[in-house]
Amino acid sequence: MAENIGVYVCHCGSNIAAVVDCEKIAQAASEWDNVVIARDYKYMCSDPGQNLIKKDIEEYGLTRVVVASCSPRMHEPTFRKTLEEAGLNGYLLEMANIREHCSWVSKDKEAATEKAIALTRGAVRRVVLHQPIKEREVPVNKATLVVGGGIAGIQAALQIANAGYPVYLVEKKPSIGGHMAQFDKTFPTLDCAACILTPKMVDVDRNQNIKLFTCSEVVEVDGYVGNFKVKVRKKPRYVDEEACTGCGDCESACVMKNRIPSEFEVGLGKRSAVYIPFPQAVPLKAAVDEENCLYLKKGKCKQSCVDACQREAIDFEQREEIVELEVGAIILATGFEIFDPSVGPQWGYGIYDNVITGLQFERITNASGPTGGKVLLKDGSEPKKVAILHCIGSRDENYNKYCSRVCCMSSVKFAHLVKEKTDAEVYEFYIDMRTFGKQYEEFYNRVQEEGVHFIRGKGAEVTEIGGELTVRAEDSLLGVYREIPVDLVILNTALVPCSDSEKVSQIFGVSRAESGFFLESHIKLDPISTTNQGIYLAGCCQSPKDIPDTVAQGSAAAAGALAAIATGKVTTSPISASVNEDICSGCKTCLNMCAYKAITFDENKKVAEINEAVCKGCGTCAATCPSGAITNSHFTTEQIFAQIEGVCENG
Amino acid sequence: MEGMPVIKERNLHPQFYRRVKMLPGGEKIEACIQCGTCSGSCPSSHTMDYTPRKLIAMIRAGMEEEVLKSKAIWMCASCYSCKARCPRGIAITDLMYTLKNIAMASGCGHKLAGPVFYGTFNRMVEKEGRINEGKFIVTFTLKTDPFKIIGMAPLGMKMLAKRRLPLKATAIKNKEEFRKILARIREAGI
Amino acid sequence: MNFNYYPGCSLHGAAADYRMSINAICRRLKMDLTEIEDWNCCGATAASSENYKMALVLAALNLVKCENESELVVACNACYQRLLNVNSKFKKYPAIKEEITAVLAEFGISGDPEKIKVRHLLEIFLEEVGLEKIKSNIVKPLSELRLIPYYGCMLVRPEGFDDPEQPTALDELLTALGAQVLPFYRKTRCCGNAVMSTNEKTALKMIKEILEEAHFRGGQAIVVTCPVCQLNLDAYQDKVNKEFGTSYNIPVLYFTQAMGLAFGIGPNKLGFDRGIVPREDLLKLIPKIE
Ligand SMILES: Cc1cc2nc3c(=O)[nH]c(=O)nc-3n(C[C@H](O)[C@H](O)[C@H](O)COP(=O)(O)OP(=O)(O)OC[C@H]3O[C@@H](n4cnc5c(N)ncnc54)[C@H](O)[C@@H]3O)c2cc1C
Ligand code: SF4
Ligand code: SF4
Repeated sequence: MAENIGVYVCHCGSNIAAVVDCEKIAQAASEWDNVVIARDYKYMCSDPGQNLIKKDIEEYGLTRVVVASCSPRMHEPTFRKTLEEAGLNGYLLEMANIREHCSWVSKDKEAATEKAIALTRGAVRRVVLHQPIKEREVPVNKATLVVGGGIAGIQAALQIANAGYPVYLVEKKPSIGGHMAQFDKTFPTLDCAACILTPKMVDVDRNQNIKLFTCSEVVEVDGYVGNFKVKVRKKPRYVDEEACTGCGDCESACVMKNRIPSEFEVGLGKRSAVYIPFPQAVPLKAAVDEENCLYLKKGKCKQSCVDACQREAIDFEQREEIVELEVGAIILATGFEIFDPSVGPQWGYGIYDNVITGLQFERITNASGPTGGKVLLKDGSEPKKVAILHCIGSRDENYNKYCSRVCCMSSVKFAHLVKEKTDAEVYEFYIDMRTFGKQYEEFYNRVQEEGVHFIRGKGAEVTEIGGELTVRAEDSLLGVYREIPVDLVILNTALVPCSDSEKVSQIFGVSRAESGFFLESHIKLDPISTTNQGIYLAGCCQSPKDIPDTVAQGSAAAAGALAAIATGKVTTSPISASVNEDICSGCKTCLNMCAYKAITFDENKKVAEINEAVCKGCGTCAATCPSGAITNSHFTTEQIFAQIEGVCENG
Repeated sequence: MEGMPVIKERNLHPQFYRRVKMLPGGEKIEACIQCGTCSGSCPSSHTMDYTPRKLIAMIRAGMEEEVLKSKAIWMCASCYSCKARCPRGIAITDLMYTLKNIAMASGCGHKLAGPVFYGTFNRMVEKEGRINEGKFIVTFTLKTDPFKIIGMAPLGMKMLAKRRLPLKATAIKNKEEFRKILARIREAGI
Repeated sequence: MNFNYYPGCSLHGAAADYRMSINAICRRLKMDLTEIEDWNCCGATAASSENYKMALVLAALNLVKCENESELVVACNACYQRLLNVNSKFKKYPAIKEEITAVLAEFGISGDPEKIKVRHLLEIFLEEVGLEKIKSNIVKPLSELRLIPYYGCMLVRPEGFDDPEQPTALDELLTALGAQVLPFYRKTRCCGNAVMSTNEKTALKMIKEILEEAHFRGGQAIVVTCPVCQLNLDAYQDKVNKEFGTSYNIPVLYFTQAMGLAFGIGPNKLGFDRGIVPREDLLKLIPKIE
């Protein structure tokens, strides 16, 4: 096969050139078969760099291009476009990664250069066998599914709905609002959480373009970008949403009144079996809790709720429904959960009455909370000394390695609220004070001035000494051990992935990071997309973050979805697997291997069939097929072997 | 009164940090975030001249003499609370042992009760192969604070009365070889 | 059931009552504990403080006396941790293992300590004998006794068979004996033994904290798994009271003594009369016949 190949070796400033001899690679390449021109250049991705390639394609009649530079992750699309602009199919390109694989991982110039030459030679051998392939365009369904109705999901849903497109918002709980609905004030400006959140929640309710599903979860996702088919399980509320006015008469009448720990009050308050989660709930409708309703659980109850409801809205005949939706894009906004500090008994949670979590403190200090907003101890008295412990379950190999990002600021907020509402001395135990956001350091400064004792040292242990609740810690700035007696301990716990995030990641075909949060496409340049095209992330389900960042990401995810909706089509990667029907033996081995459910079995022909649109071209099936009947375009066996041979060949 | 100690760079010993890093317990100390969880969990840190966290900072700075002369390392109760809770997985208790090893080998702090206690114990083990608790305590006390013996008498009498203080000597049979092995390993140094 | 057994120096000394009770219940359970031939001191905290290699040799010398692939049962927490520790240290530092193996080889001693599984006696009762069998031997359930389960640090830290801060093995055993096991969070706080002789005040404070919670929870006795913990909590209670102006008077017994009582074995055979804080009052709470 005679091809005209151009080889371009990039210095990447000094990133590559400091270790790898780029000129030497170009020189070596100029000797190889089919190579008609080989150059090295400071920045191949720059405009002049790209123009160099374009000019050569014209002048030398290049039919294939090899770029030896960085990881293809970032710049493969760049150079594909360069080729297209010069009239060459973008897939006639191959990249050799001589930065991440050579210069960044070695100090040995000679060895690194040798490896870089080998990788480039592999690329040259491979590119000869490349075939031009065309990117596919698929039409996009204009509706979007948003999963999770916290502030992230609310923001994304409103953004898309306000642009005039339909949104389905699926929330697991009876009301939207997420964690923010539980807070009292929000840092750094201390505006009341309800005051800024409630209007948005009401907007969701009123917006004609948003169809809200509460008490609902997504159970199945089929299809591919632009054309997802989704099944939503809508659990019965046992209350007719049309009829219910949210008056709460049922709640007061319920036999189980004040007997069930309230989730919204984080166990500090009690509710009925039929309840409205909180006064600002959206939708403002009652729901029956199956687990605790005597009638549903035991079949025996006088049903005082039914008698109490003048609208006859209580309906024990309601059954679970599966709703099928078709959407073009999906935004995951499932948020986080709170780390359970009782797994570390050294912190005394669940052992001593007056050891609470930060989220519980939010309820205590909230005017609509169990104490009417007064900061009180379990026995109803006011604390005189309060300890706030940072990093409980965060930055700790034994629990979660990562920093939860919001706790330094929320701790400072708690300190302020305690100071505002009581005369208590406040002690904050921190490792490092991370107040990085806009107006955050200023807020810290303000609370310092309020007279809070900031002790640099992690609260190591909460115990009772001589009947007094005591925090043990090292005051590391003084280098002394301290035992500080207090009345109330607030454990500011880590933000952790939702307990069902493993299941959710499987349903939506997205990956999870080591921390358990969902994995973005690129940590810096694309923190919105996932590896599953058309599925976006927003808020704390991607990683712990504060409300400003959550809202920004919610809007960004909406923008991602809107871009496809606006053009009505998306291009998808043409790299996909296909089955050679003549060779396929019908053994079905591949069927279970495909993570994207792209393979079906044709019972008539007794062969496997791959849906190209769903296939992500991962190659798992091709590698598994015992008959060798599956080929993955752009990753054919011949191409891969040619590359290996090129890399291994001597000289 | 002395002023704040001023550390002169030339009095620091970076090689001490490198040495400790090679020994048991020293391997991950570069990752210490100085959170003080160790000191806060330590039942002894309130009596230490330097807390465990601070010792790590001092090692990293190369403060060899101060670390090896510190009383703190002899206060460690070897309870491993610090290790169990350290957020960076540092084996602080093992580090404490390593520091004691270096201090004993180099003679630093030999006048403190800690090294005398351990030395006396180990010499008895070397000699007999086993420890007779009563005999050991008496030997140690005579070495450090003979007058304390009188204060110890009531407890000793009680133990005796409860038949919990055997006066019969205890020892292993194969003492010769045992002693040689221990001498051989101590020769190898740490 | 037959096991290699390492008693440790204390069981031949201050912990005579531990030894007696172990012997008595093992006879009842038809367990044979065979002392390994000419065992030597584990080195306690002293050997590792002076020379960690010496500590490893002391432990290894005991382990290689067992057959490869066998188990060694240890009754004292401190000895248990010392002997157990050799394996993880050898795994972590292969060069040290090589050096020590070479020294032992010079004296014709072979055998691989890593092939011996070190286990605490409590672990054996729970995992090998089993609670069912233990229950079937009970003739006098301890249902009138409110007990404090105290594990000490060395049973679970740095390694062990249970949680490093809040283990439950002893709770389970005592519950099986019918006793009321009280919640107790200072289960694994150190008894201060390593600093008792050099820094008595600190050690007394450590003991006090344990007694304090035991008293606060309303425990009638503290149950321990280690002769060192027993000695500190028992023999120094008087001193704690003098130092802190308290008046604790809590008997401290071995878990094997509790088992013996439940099995109906005579208290004297269990060395019950050898407590420094008298334990005799507890006997009034044990049913006469069942
Ligand atoms: C104690 C505390 C105080 C804080 N204070 C502040 C502050 O003052 N200022 C600030 O900026 N930030 C603060 N934060 C951070 C703030 O809570 C988050 O930034 C914000 O809540 C993130 O919103 P979210 O929508 O991503 O997640 P969430 O609020 O967790 O919402 C997620 C929603 O998704 C739903 N969901 C979960 N899984 C599913 C599923 N499988 N299907 C359907 N629905 C699902 C949940 O029910 C929930 O409604 C604080 C955090 C804590 C813990
Ligand atoms: S607990 Fe660990 S990380 Fe924290 S100061 Fe101690 S050694 Fe360093
Ligand atoms: S092992 Fe030593 S340093 Fe660590 S907590 Fe226990 S006494 Fe303190």
